[in-house]
Amino acid sequence: MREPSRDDERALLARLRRGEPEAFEALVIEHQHRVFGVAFRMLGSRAEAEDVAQEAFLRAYRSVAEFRGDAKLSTWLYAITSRLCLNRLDSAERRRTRHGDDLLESVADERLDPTGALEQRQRAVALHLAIAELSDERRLVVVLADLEGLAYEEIAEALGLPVGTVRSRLHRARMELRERLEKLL
Amino acid sequence: MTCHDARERFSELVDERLAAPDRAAVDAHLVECAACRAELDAFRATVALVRSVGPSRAPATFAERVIAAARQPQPMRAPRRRLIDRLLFPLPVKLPLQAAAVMLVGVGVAYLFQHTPELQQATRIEPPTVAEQPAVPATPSAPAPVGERLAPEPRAADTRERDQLAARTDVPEQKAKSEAEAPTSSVDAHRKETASPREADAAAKKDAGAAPPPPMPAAVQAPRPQIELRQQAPGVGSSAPRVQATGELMRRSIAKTAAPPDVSGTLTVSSRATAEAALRELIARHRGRLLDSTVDTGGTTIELLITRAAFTAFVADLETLGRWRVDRPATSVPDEVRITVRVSE
Repeated sequence: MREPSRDDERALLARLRRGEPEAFEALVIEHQHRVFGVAFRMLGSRAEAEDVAQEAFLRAYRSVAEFRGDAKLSTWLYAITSRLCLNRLDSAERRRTRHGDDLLESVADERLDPTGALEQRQRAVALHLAIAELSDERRLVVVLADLEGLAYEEIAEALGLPVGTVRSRLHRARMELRERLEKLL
Repeated sequence: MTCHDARERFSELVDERLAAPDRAAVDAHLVECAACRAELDAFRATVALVRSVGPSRAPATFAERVIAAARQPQPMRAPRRRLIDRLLFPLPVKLPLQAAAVMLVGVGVAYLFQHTPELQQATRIEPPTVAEQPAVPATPSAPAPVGERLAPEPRAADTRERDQLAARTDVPEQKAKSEAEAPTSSVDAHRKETASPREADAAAKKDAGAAPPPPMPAAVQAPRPQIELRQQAPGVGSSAPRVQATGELMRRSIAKTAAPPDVSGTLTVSSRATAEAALRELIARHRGRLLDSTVDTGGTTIELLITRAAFTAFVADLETLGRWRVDRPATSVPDEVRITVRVSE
């Protein structure tokens, strides 16, 4: 996904603060896949991910006046989405169903390939299960770093963590995945 | 460098974030350690495998639905909040405005006090002459207490107190209006005080109903009602009911503080200090009141008051600071909601 320039972002932010509806549309269109992607990887359910992603955009829409603009818009959206996902995962009801089924089903569809299809799907399922088995905090850091491509500093800013904590948490998550995926490697 | 130290740096190595000296040290170790080389290969393969997961794309109609949802009419609180934000932000404007409002109220009260002799006499502090006396009951023929007829009812507790005391008044409004002589007895003096009951009541109600001063703990606020009660407690032996009523109000204030909160929960954060600062800002932004803050080894417990109107928005913003888990949900939402937030890492 193309990263907008800093000037583009400032201009968009100014328009958002003025309450221009087209500005909000542009924000959603620009960042929908990022926001949805994080929610989907965290929650595993497409329906829940859509709910949370929509809520993240609406929260951003309502609180844009309080956003100082010192971080990227994407970082800000990642921050809102991450919090919403963690809160959702923390709810009593959610604890009973830790993993959504949609994610595994979509993996099976995505990996459909006539040659070596079964093995590839099995690897994909094992990979996604391993990621889903991580604790919420570790999974979030892996999703932001390795799936969304954020730098340590961006993750730290989005999650309100020191950079050292991000580094450490990411390393622990990767080491855990390394053990779980040993048979695949 | 040990194997443990080298492996602890694998993430930074793979992400090309190692400082040069560390990089050199890790490389030197890897040259000599086949086990760590194998481990690094497996680690790199793991990261590559994770990164090979394709991006998840939002459904085709997702953006359309979000935009449509944003166009839905917002709840009342949102426009009001934006209006309040426009009025009260930025902070350099907000604080002087609040200070000016407080001063205006103080000037208004002082002006009324100086120009209302009845008020001045009513607030004159006299030592109680009788320690314990039964309250003087209202005469059956007395009309409905002036306080009840005239008062707007902003605060139920204060109003109940005033009503109880007003009911003890035995001076009808009509009779008090005709009193023009200088008081010759304590009874007459109290009748004089009530010669303009509407004025006295209006002033007292204005004092009670005026914009409150900057937030103070409930215990500090307790002395204020003593003056109001004295204004409204004419009649023989009224010093005893005054003392009793004041004590009762203080007991109620203490009881209110000691009562369990309306809502309590735990906010799990990554940095307690950052979250506490953000929480205080949140309280100020939603025009709440910070009641108490206690620190222990496990975390910080912050007690606050927030108006019912701001409650929902406050909780929504609270959830952006960290993981908010409600331990004690609200069974009802009073006009002022008392919330206890336990901030922990």
